[in-house]
Amino acid sequence: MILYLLFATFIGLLYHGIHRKAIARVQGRPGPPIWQEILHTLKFSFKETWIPKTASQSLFIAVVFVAIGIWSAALYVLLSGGSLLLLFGIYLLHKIVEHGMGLSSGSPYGKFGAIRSVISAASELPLLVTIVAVYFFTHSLSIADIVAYQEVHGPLLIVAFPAAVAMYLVILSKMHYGPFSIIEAKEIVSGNMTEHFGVWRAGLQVGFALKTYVLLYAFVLLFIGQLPFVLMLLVMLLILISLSFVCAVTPMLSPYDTVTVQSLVTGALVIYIIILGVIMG
Amino acid sequence: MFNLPTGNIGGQELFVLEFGDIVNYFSPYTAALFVFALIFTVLAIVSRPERQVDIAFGGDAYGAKEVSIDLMRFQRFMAIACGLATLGAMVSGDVFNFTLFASLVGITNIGIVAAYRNRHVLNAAFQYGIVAMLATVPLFGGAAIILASTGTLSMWELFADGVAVPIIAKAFLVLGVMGEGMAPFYVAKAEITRAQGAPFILMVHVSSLLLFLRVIEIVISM
Amino acid sequence: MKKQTALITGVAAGGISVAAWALATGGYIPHWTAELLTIVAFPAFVIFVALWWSAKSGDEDIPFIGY
Repeated sequence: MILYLLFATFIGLLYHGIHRKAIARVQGRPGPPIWQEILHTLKFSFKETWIPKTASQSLFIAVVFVAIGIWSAALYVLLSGGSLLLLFGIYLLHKIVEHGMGLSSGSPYGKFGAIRSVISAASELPLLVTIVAVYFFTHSLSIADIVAYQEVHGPLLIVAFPAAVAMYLVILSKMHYGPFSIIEAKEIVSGNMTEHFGVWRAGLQVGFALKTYVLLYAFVLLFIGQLPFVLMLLVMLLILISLSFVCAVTPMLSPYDTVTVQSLVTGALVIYIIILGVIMG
Repeated sequence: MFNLPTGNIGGQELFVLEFGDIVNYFSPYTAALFVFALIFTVLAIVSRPERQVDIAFGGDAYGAKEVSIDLMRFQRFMAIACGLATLGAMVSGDVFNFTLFASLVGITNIGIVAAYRNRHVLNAAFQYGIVAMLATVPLFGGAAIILASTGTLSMWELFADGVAVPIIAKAFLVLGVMGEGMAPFYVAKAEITRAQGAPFILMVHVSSLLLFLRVIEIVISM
Repeated sequence: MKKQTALITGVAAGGISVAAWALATGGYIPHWTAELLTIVAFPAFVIFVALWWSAKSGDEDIPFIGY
């Protein structure tokens, strides 16, 4: 179990590295080596570490533990075929981690990152719409049931294509260097992660690596179905590289444009669900 | 004896807590939310408040704001009350109880924000108060419509297949929770950054997000 | 925190999750209990091991800070 967690962390960090490399190649730069993020994490973990004097001490540390904990839990929910609603819940709880991370330090940059993370709460709504759309087809929110449904009726990617697009957007909004990653924009230093340095940042890197692994795994599981393990990793990598292309060619949006785009997508999906409801009764 | 009719949504119930005819339940979903609310309530109790660093506009000067003991005590009290109300709402097995806890969360949220003695923050708190008050109408209205149309408020019966809950009641319930947990409204007000955030303002966010997650489960299950 | 304490906590957390996995495979405890234990222990394992190897042992050279 802990071995699988370490493996997922490793793969997640490797995917982050590949993401950076792909973006760099699209933009005509050489880019860092693909294991750069693994080195980053190790480097941060060797740095001298303390807690800023202005920080809210327990919270400052606790968010790092919570960040790793919730995504480990999400991985187990996925692997054991638990409730999709629980996965959605964990995704939303990640927002609290981001928010708490920024607020706990006392730094104005962290605070701006935290406020931006709350503003982009609109990015959660497409995921909710995805869940409702999936429920329309499968009549169950248990991941095991959804996988079983796809074995009989074919992948949901085809029958529920708009829902897959929404989920894709959700993953995009959590990718680094993407059009929606306003919480870590460079004009506010590192956003909500500004004051988490050293071991704390290494811990966050581990949590975020698990997050990337879980989100990509969930996408494949929900919309394509259960695949052999190596093929699963390969499909995840392909999705990641498509995301890298999107990240490479789009500029970062301003905070309010982010909300507008995400709300428009949600609105379109709500109309889709209403149509689905009328057609399917 | 008890058997949750909607095991395929939040998982089968692990444990039930009976208070007469009100039966609270812990399914994997509600238990996870409960644990999360508990973690942050404990953090609100043990964390020191942050000392917010402000940069003087147009200069290099910066300073940390001090937090007075009285203010911290009151905010901590409100944050703990808010945490307890959230804990109740997470595992409640009764729609009326849920709405009651939701409105309690609304009240304590206003308390957390209004404690801060700053004109802008108080202005914001006043407006949140109006939103939260308005939201109680659809919140309890939704519960009332459910009672009038089905004759029960127990989730154990409402979740069963044969019971049809009108869609307007569900919509009212969601609308009410969004108003009470004021996350959607409080983000639009930048005044909140003038108050020190952690861990008490964070509690506002925790409670409203968890309430939203719970009401989604209730609405999908009904 | 002392270097020793961080090491002990980290190794203990790692030990707990390995033991939980072993017990679950052997059928002594249910799988969800082992998962729950691992979820709690894994963050502690990561952070405390990192804190252990980033902590000073007290006899470093004074770094070269320029002429």
